[in-house]
Amino acid sequence: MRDEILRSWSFDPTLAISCVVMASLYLRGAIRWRRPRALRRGCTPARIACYLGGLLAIWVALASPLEAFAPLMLSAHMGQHMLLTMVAAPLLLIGEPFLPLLRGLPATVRRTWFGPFIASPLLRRIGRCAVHPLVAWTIFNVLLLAWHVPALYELALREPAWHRMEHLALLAGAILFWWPVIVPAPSRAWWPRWAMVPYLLAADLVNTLMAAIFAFAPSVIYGTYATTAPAVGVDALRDQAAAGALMWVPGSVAYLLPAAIILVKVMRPAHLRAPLITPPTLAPERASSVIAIERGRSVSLPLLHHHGHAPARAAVPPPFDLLRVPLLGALLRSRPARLGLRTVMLLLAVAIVVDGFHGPREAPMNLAGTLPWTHWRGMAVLLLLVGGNFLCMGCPFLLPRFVASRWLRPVMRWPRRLRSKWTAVFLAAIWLITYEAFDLWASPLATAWVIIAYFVGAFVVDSLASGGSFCKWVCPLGQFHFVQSTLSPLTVAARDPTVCATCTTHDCLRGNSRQRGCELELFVPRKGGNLDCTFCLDCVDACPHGNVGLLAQPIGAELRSDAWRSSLGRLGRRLDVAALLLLLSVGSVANAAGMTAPVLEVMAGLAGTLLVPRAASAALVVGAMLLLPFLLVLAAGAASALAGPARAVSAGSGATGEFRRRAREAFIAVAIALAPLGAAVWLVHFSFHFVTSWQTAAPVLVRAANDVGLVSQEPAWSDACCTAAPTWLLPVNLLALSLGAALALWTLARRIAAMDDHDSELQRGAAPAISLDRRTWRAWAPGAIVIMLLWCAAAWVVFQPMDMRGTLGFEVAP
Amino acid sequence: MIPALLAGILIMLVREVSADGGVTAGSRAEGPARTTAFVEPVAPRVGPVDVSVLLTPQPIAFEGSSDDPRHGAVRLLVVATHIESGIERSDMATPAHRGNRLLRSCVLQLPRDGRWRIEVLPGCDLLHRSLQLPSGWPSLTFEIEVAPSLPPWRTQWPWLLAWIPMTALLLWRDRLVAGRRPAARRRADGASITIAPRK
Repeated sequence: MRDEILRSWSFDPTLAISCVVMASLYLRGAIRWRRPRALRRGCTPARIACYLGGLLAIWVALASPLEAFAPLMLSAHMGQHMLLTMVAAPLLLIGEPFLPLLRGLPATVRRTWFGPFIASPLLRRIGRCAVHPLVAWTIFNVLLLAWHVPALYELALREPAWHRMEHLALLAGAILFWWPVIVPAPSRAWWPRWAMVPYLLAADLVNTLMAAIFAFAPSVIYGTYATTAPAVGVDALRDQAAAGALMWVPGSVAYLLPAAIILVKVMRPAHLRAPLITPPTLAPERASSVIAIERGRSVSLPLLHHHGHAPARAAVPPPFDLLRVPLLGALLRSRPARLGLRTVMLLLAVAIVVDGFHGPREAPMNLAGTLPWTHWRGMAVLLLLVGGNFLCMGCPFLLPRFVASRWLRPVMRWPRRLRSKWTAVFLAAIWLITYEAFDLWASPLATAWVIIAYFVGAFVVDSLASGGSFCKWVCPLGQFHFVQSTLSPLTVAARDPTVCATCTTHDCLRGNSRQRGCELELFVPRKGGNLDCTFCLDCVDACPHGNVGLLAQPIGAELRSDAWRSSLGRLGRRLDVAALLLLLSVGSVANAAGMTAPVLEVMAGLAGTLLVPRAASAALVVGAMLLLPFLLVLAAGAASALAGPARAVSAGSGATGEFRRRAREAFIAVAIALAPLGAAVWLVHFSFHFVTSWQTAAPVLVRAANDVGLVSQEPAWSDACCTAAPTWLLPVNLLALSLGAALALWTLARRIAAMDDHDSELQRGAAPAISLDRRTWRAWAPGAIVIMLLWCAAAWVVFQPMDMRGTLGFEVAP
Repeated sequence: MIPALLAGILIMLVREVSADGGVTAGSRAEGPARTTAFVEPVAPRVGPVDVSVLLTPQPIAFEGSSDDPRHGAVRLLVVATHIESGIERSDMATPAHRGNRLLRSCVLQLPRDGRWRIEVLPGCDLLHRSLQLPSGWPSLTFEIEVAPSLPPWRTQWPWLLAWIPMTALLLWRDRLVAGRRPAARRRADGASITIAPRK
């Protein structure tokens, strides 16, 4: 039993990461807050210890053996509740976390995301009411009683999601309950201190009544425990009585001890009372600032000035620049290091090609069957969404072109008629269809040929045409990177726009004697995002002012903005770019669905019905999966055009022309808005393969090294095989999909709202927010329905068994 | 249009697709022969699990490696045993339902999560398990971890429906900022707060 208890400590990454993030933010804020001498008493070591102790209590409650035994023993479950409500909640509040947590947030996040909510008079009123002693007491005790009603309690025992909800509700209720007792800064007490004594005594009364019910009940209250407690060698009734005792004694102490302390303090003579931290009075009209208070002083901290409306004296700190990070920044700035990265990738590509031709024909044993499809794809999508387009930076196809360019000068410009994304759209569609039809991922030989075709294509195109034509107009893989990097948190941008305003040479674009400029003709000050940017960092080398960096940007900001951008113009007018975004978004769902048993059955059924090869039926099904959303988005565009705000018909265009213009704009808006959802689906799909199969690289590499005589050991296949998918993967995948859907709906709202306002802030690229009226909502609805349909399809795919191709339900055409 | 045309012609011409997937679970060489097994799905769950077997001469002694005539004649039994409970599932691996004719596979319905031992027994069949006929290919044993089946989608509602509060917050934030902008501009220079100390 002791061993079982010790073994049942669990590691829930969501909980662990949440605790670490909350602790880090608090400590960062506390350290930064303690810097001014005047404020040093605001965040004392004792308060810091209390806050960290509160987080520790949460972690112990939810990760210790208490969590494992909670479904088996009422006493263990009660222990969890006691830790959350009687230990964690008051400790967190004693730590006065509000200001340190805000101070610990990155300035942009604090101003842009938290500022509006904290400054909202309505929310402030709600918050103030929620911590009124009467309200807080009622909420907490109703929650406590409700969650102990057998029906709800059993529901929480049966379903983990409800169990988590129970803990969350109890913790939130407890924080509200303890708020009037502790009065953490910055808040003001509703009632005098002495009133907290009856407040706590009344809560203790409820607690005692509940404890007595548990302790003296003649039968087991929760049916589940009647069977589970004996399974771990405990009598269910005694376990219930123990739970009652736990609630009674430590619970009463938790209420009576602070009541006694308050009573003693209140009874003391006034001149002996300990100094209290002055709660601030945040007048609504001053709510854009948050304050730090020390006894007898008033200090303002301009924490929450809105983006774009900060007062002149509140200096906005420069955004994070990855190129200024020690070591890593220097490495990225170094041209030889970037060349080295491409060389490594090139060697890897060569190894994959060689193994693809000469290695085993079975994909799971071949470098070409594992590294590109499991590891590279998984790493790529993760890197794109947490960093930036570093994949294009390390592209192995660049190196041979770069070397050849010393002898072969391009003889022409890319044809004007092909200077759009339509070629890339076409090639990407062909890629998505052939990928499913020929199972490229399952054939090392096909993979090797694809890589060679890529090298040849890049070499030929760039030998003939100048200006990075292959990357910009042809490469489907590069387009995939461009599109996903619109959601990246980093972008190549000017550190200080005023420096660019005075620059006359524009070396970042034109180049100079020692460094070429941007091959893709992007002018850094007007670039406005990651589309078409290969992160080659040539502009960083070329800028004589050292003013180009890899700066932090709000996620998906370039999708919400319609500012004019260098080499691309306005996204809202680029049908080809919208088609590319749409194709790669719907392609994400089609690509993932193609790995599921039901879709494979449809392919097989179609092949049988139409008497065509299975490859043809796969192409038809995938083609349909790509085409149908296109038609839906077209319909949504038309519906939005009908429902949107009326606009004066311009001279000469007529009603039909105006409808067409509006439908086209709405189509583009929906297509662009789908990009975050598409990125989420790619992330879910590729990260699934990566997380479940990352170990396969080691034995495959050993096998390849063994074949060429570099090592003489057998690959340990079984070490890399068939571990269960981690339990956190499904919730994380679903959460990623939800985030993608939310960002898509939000982006759509922004774009629809600005559709009829060509002079809007969105079009100037400076829109911090939009205001939606009723007609705009109606125009938003059709696109939102399409987004939700795609989200439903993606969520459906997640619940299907994946990676079953070639096994179940797969038939070869006769 | 040329690439599309070529792709279309290719699709119509292809009569067979060799799709494997899965992960290499084990490989064993004995004398001139090697037995390799692959398992699908990569992270197995309760339910259907595909075990595919590749028999290759080692070193390659025959032209066409596993297309060797002996390959097709060998009977191949796959036995899965749940280590904790001893539950057993077995089936003959055949090339019948595979896309890849090099491999022979069977689909085992594994009813319980936990660790399973998989035995690949060339030369055996369902009736004569203990009798291993001289097949020339080595037997192979490995273990796999089978996870419980995917939970019903209803139990995942907090993650599935997280987009609702997220969207509401994003749109509400915009509304708040949009509503406050004129006022914020008016008082752009008044950011400090004076708080009277508690009396």
